[in-house]
Amino acid sequence: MPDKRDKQQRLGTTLDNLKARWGEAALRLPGSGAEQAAVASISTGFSALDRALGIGGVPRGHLTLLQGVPTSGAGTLALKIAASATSAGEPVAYVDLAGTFDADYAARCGVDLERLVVVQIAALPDALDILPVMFPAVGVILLDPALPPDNLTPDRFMMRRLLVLLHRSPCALVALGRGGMESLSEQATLRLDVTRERWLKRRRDVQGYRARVRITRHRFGPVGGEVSLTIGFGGVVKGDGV
Amino acid sequence: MSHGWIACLLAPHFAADMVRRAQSMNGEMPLILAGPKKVVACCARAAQAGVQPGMTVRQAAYLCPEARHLPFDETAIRSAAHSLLGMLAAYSDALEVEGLPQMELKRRRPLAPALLARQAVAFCVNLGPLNAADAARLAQDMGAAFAHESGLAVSAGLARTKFTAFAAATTATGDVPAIVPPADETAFLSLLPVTLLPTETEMARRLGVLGLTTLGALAALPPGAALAQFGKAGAALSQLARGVDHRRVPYFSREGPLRATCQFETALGARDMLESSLRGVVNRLAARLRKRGVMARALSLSLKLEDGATLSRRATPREPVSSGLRLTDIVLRLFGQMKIGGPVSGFEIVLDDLIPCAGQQLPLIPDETAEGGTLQAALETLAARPNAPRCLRPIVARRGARRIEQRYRFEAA
Repeated sequence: MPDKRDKQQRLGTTLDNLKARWGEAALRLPGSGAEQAAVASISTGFSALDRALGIGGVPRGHLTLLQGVPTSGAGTLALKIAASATSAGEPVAYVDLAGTFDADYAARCGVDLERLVVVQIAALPDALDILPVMFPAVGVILLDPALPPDNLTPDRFMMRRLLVLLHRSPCALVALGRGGMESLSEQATLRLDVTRERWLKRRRDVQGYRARVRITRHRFGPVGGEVSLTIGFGGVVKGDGV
Repeated sequence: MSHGWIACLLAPHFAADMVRRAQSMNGEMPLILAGPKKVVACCARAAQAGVQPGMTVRQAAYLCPEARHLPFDETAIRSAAHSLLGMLAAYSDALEVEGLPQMELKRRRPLAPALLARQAVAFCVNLGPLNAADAARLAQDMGAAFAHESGLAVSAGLARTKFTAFAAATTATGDVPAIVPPADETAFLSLLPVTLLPTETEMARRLGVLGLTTLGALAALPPGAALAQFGKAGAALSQLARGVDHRRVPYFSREGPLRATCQFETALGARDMLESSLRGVVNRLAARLRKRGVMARALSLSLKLEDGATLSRRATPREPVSSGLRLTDIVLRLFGQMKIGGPVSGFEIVLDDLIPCAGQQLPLIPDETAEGGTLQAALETLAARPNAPRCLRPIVARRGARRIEQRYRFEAA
């Protein structure tokens, strides 16, 4: 019966053979910090969430999907990511399929509007078609789909081309998932489910809300972590998580 | 805002003069083109006698008894305009015609009263980002070619926006195009009458009642006041009066429709088999589209049933398509909407209104300029595409305004 040391040796040899054939990136051990350190990221604006993600924010060169119904806090989280990028001097593009971009709320979330471009286009496949042009030029692209989402879903070849070009760029693509976004959901590197827990009221005035963010998919870090965010509305939208 | 020069060729009394030329009529004899009861168009001499489109044939005969009356043939006029567009397509792919007379007096989009009064037809051509001297020479050549081809006297205007080019064309005399440099647009427009604006009759009346007779007077109104007084349409007119015009010149479709038919030896009743056949035909059509380098702006599907009946559906996607997968998606959606009563013996798919695909130059050497420059380059690349999205920058308008929508406005990026 082979002993434990023999097994380890054979596992090591097998891993070496696989890496020699398919490359160093073909295999990774769960929880290994080497890959996490190699992933560039943009802060979400919430330090607790950045810590929970393990890579310091949303990954650059990858697709992040923020799942949540309207008023759940997903839109605010997306704008906070944009605010982090603009505060670092990077341009941001907001692809507004829904036609609902609110410049006032974006400014209150801390987005530097001088570094923001709003792109209005009709359909999701067309939006995905133009995104590669913007990848090298901006730090973050926020994709806000129409409500209800149009039934012209992008085909898988378009998605594959998009993701290949995205991986080669320093841009973080953040999409707001509001149902009907299965093709994006399948391809997302990071998926965060955002739900509103409760409104925060002082007497009768709504002062903000508490949202729960659950990491349901994460290629570079642990899955299943939950962070509770408190978002206040008083003037500047601010908040942090626990 | 346009990224190139737009030339506008204005042909007054287009319909009547084209018919006169086609019929080899004497130039001295007034000509009136009429529908069953009403006048649709007339020549300059008849107009001088007081004949106007919309009046009854009896009124026209009373005002100009020596005029010759001919039935108005809308198809022939459209065909003549289309052939002229084909000639102008040698200069640019982005061109359109506006103001063609039609039998129904109610139009989908209002026209400028000045255009209607002269029964003029405006041909707009986007010449692209040329320098001013080249654009002027091209516009002059184009006007001469147009006059040679049609035999009509035309006036040409050249500016950065459609409206200013049209206004310039109304002021041009002789063969020389009137050119409005970008910096002079507001000053040029300020003295012109508001009848150049595309307005409904009621709006024109309200402008007149308030004493707003020139574009300068309308432009001097604060945007908020124009919006409050005249609504969205008024705000849009106010923008035009200031020389701001975001309307693009669409791409002209020179290509005929692409068709593909499929006839079954034995009629098919199973939907999945029909879907499979549709997929195959659509993929072949998409390959033909790619080969010709065009995209389709409309698509129709006709099913022929075994009993001889025909079911048809037509779709106009929001953006032109050439991808096989998107075409398949649309065709299958149309197919899903059809209630098929019996076996299908064949079908036909027609891709219509074809426009050229815009090519995109890929950079051979990565651009290492500053981020702002890269973003600007990306926006320019997007603007050059046929289905260009609107790229806007939010600008602070009134920071402390009570209404949130008044705090920011958007400008083209």
